[in-house]
Amino acid sequence: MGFIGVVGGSVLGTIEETLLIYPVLLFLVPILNGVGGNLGAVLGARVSSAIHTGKIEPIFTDEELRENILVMMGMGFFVFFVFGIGMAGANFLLDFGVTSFQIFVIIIGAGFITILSITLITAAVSLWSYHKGLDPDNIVIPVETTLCDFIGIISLAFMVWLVIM
Amino acid sequence: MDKTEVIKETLPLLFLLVLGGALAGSVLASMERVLEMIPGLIIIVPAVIDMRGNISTTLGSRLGSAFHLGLLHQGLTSDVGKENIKGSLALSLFTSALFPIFLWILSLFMPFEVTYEIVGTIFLISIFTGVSAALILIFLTFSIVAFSMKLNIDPDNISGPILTTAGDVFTLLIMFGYANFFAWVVL
Repeated sequence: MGFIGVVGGSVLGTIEETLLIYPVLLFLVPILNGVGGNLGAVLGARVSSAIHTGKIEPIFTDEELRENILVMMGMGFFVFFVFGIGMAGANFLLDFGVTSFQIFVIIIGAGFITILSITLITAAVSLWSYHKGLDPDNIVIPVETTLCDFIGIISLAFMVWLVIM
Repeated sequence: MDKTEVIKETLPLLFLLVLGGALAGSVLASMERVLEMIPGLIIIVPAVIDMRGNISTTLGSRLGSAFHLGLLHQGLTSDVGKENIKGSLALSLFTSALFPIFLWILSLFMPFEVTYEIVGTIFLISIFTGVSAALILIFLTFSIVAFSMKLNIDPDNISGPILTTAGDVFTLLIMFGYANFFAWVVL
């Protein structure tokens, strides 16, 4: 997992030039990772418990599982939407050197990609570990947080490349 | 599934995490000069804060279980406490030493180059940051458990998010300090 972390960092290294010109982008890294990672952790903990208690059938088409995923996605999208508007507003006052529209699109884009992939991955890892005969409680959260840091950075790099470069 | 209950308990937490992340983010953004001086340092940042999170949340979860089993009444000095402190420190030291090595291996395949001088500097920064941050977070973890014992809260519900968020902020602050120091001494 340490290795995945360093690989994630080297993606950050490839957009280093841009990040150093616009420090506000560095500012976004811990937020993407923190919100995404914890959202996945809550989903992972809920799904693992529900599989153990039999509330969720360990298949992807389970109604309860789908509801859990959708609620978490909805909350994540909402948080990044509000945060995007807030940062666009803050940009008027503080001027981070990018346009408010750019920062809004970067946050929404990177946030949505991160949330979408992390919720699906968390659910998939929970089901997979259960089918492998492993206890999802021991597997899901460490796997999910590490992957989230990786995905958060890649989606940020992607949005920066798309919007600024 | 009770949607309103999940949303009521989780959504405020997510907004708090945005604030915590913003704090950590401002530290990272103010590190831009030293990140420029030590190219390659930014590459280990996600790994370092991620491992810090993994080590301290598992410590929090183990202490939480020990608390539920009634094994933690003497706090830090109990046997469970001592074992956990030793384990966490050893893990921190070991993983911190690994990151610069991973970095060097990766530089052989990825489109960036690092000199031995830079890898050495990053090695020192990584080890000192890892151990110092571990000491602070171990203390914080025990405080959270002691605090929840007093207030009759389940530590399992609060230790995870607090530790990951505080871990990011402390780790980055400490790394910022050591990076400036070693950049000044070595480079």
